[in-house]
Amino acid sequence: MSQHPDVVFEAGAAYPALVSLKSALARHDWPGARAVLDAATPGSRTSLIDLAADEAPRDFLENVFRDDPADGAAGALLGAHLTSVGWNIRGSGRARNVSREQFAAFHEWLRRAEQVLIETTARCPGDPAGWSRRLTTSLGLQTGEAEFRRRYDRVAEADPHHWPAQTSMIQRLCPKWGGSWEKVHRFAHEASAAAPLGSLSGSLVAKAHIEHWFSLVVDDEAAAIAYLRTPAVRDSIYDAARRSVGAPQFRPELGWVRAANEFAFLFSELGDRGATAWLFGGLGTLATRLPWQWVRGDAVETIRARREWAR
Amino acid sequence: MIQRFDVDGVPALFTPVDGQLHAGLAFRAGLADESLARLGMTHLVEHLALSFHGVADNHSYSAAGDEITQFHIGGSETDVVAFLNGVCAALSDLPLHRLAVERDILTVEQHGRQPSIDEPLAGHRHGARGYGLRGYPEMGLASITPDGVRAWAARFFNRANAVLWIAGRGVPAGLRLALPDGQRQPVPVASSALPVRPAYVTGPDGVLAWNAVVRRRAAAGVFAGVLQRAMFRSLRGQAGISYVAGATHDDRGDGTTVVTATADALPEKQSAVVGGFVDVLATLRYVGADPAEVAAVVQQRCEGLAGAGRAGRLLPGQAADLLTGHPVRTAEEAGADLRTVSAADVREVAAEAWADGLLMAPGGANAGWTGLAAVPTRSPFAVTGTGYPALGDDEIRIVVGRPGVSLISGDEECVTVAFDECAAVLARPDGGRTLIGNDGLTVTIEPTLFENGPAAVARVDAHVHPGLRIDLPARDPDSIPQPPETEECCDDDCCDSDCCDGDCCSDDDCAGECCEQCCDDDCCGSDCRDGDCCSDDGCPGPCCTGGRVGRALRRLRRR
Repeated sequence: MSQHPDVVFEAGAAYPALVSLKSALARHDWPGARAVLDAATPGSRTSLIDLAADEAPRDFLENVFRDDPADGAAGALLGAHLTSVGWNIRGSGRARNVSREQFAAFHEWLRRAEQVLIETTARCPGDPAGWSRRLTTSLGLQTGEAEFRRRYDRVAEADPHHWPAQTSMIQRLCPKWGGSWEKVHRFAHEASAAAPLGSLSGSLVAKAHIEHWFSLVVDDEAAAIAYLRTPAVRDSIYDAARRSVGAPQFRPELGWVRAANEFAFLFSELGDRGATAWLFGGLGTLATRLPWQWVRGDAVETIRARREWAR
Repeated sequence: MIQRFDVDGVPALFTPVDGQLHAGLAFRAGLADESLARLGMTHLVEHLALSFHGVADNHSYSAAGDEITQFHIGGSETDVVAFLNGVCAALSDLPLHRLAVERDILTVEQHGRQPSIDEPLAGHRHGARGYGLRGYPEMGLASITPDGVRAWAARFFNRANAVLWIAGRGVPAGLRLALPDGQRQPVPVASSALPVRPAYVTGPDGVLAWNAVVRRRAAAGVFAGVLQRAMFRSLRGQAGISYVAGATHDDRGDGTTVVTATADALPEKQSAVVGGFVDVLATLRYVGADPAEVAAVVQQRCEGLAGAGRAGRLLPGQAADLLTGHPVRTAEEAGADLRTVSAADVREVAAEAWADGLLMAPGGANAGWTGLAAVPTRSPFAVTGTGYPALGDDEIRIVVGRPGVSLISGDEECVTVAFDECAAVLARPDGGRTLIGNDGLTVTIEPTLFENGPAAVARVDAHVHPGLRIDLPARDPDSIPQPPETEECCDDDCCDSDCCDGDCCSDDDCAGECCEQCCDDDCCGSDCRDGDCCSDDGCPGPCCTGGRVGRALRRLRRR
């Protein structure tokens, strides 16, 4: 149970399918796990795989994959699990704080993951989950931007508006990975414009602005807020909300809690109490740590304070 | 149809063909028989054998391959008889007065020659010997003596080591293959310089090359055809990352087939060419080829074989088979074999090929993620013996001992050439020496750059077999490297960093690392141990970890 019942970060609270998937995996019930995954939309399926992978029992996943290497869900889950083991060793800090031994182990796990994913994407080229997982290994193993783009193109071929892959692409295009803000915003805008109304892809513009804001706020809080309040940025945030969480066609897919928290954060930064309150109302107690933990102070306290402010 | 008989004791293959007469003389002689220190020997014999020929209006052709040297002509009976009789006469009594001239011609030819993309793979796979020699320039030409070339010709260009082939209406009258007696030469044994396969090396920018040695069978050639189509579709059609992408196969006399794939890449797409290619091979080995595609390749090959068989164009290959102890097979027999090849057979070849593969990744691309092992650029051990520290850099030293010579950097990294595994030594009159090991690794000693450098050179000279020495002309005195006067940061002249155009960010001295745009580790997820990122295109590029010996070598070469 959550330590703070009014701010619930556990993904399972928002996504019952994740709870079912995790429990099926924990009891080594592959048909049960597949039933959950098969019922999900392609984007939710990839997100479920991402979220369940870390705790999934490795031996079990290896056996399932060995028994049926043509099972794309098994390959993606095993690949995601091995990636997650590697990333846990590396930690999420900056490279300078990661030891040589940590890096060596990180890369070793990612190479293991990549071998599984090479096989699974060869056997199931039309499954976006395997290709999406290869975006993460592409980042960690530094395959280069063109190779990342090739992998993304294979995801998009399989599922044109695959939100989990699109969020990875935004990461990849950020200056911290050798990209540029121009590339980030162009991709977010194009992906958002191409997506059907009410889809999570419509929220990518907001995600791009948050990444940009975060890069500024580290050094200069005033510059960061000024960036968000630029008329063009402000307008595009409202437009993105109308295209996604605010559209009548919006259906909560896995990832919606993150998107709604991002908008709540942005509207509160913009000083729009009404829009912020509307989002917190829709969320109830559900919350995500990001982007709140990027604001100085404790994420729980920040959420409480902004809810209170918007009320 | 093939008829077999002897002409003057030389086995002959004959295919009746209407139209122009073609004939050729093939010898079991090639680059793979040579040694690095005398590399160019077979090519030189080939040129000497044709020096009588002059300019003619018929179409003659000669080539020294890895295993087979061919002399081939198309023309009238008179032309063919004159050519082949002339070749045989020249081979039995080489016009050695032309040795110096032909050597010069070969040197010029070499300068003008465009190496094929995949050539470096040979040296990386086999080292500086045997089948690896194709990756090296003909550096032995200047050291070849009249006696040496005569002995080579006697050993390889003799009656027992030759096959004649003729495509025409009949055997031309007056053919006299006056070759000396001798012995059939065995097929060279392939050496390996790869401790682990599959493996990768980094090659020049803009191109990817890959090869694999698989068991020779009909399915190997079909695999190459299927690979060619898959690469074209995936790298060019689907992803638009390559313009020229293709695969070929070559049978070897030792019962293997070398499958070779090459692809070009735009500079900004290099990493995607690596990924696309790895995935093409993954699909072929995990899923296999579409049976319809296999059938299409087989059909195409069979049609090609049938046409080539009728025209007598299979004869050079059939002559090579005969010379290397393989059955001579007709187009129909080869076609029948091809028609038995299934998608499962091709998949089996794909798995075998992947396991043996050597990838040369484009310069700007990282291939470490592919699961392939990096080809070693260091030696596993250093020799013990007398040390000669580099002037101005006590981290680097040359050690000369009884077993060989090592260039050592710090405590960990070294390149060693053992004297009994030395393929050649390039010697400058000023004392500069480059030892090339059979494994392809090299150690360069510039006596001006090491304490007691001339003594180190003298010790090396005393240990190296004189037959391995290749004397090079004197250098321009300005190009003889000189020790650094002061170490100043950091314009590449004094800096041993890898970063070609980065800034040096060390505060204290030149040995500091470079900061490429990205690489202060703040943004970089890379494993730059000391922050030296050598990618051209930003942060996620591969870093040069370690690499002191590599840098030391580059520094020595630059000077």
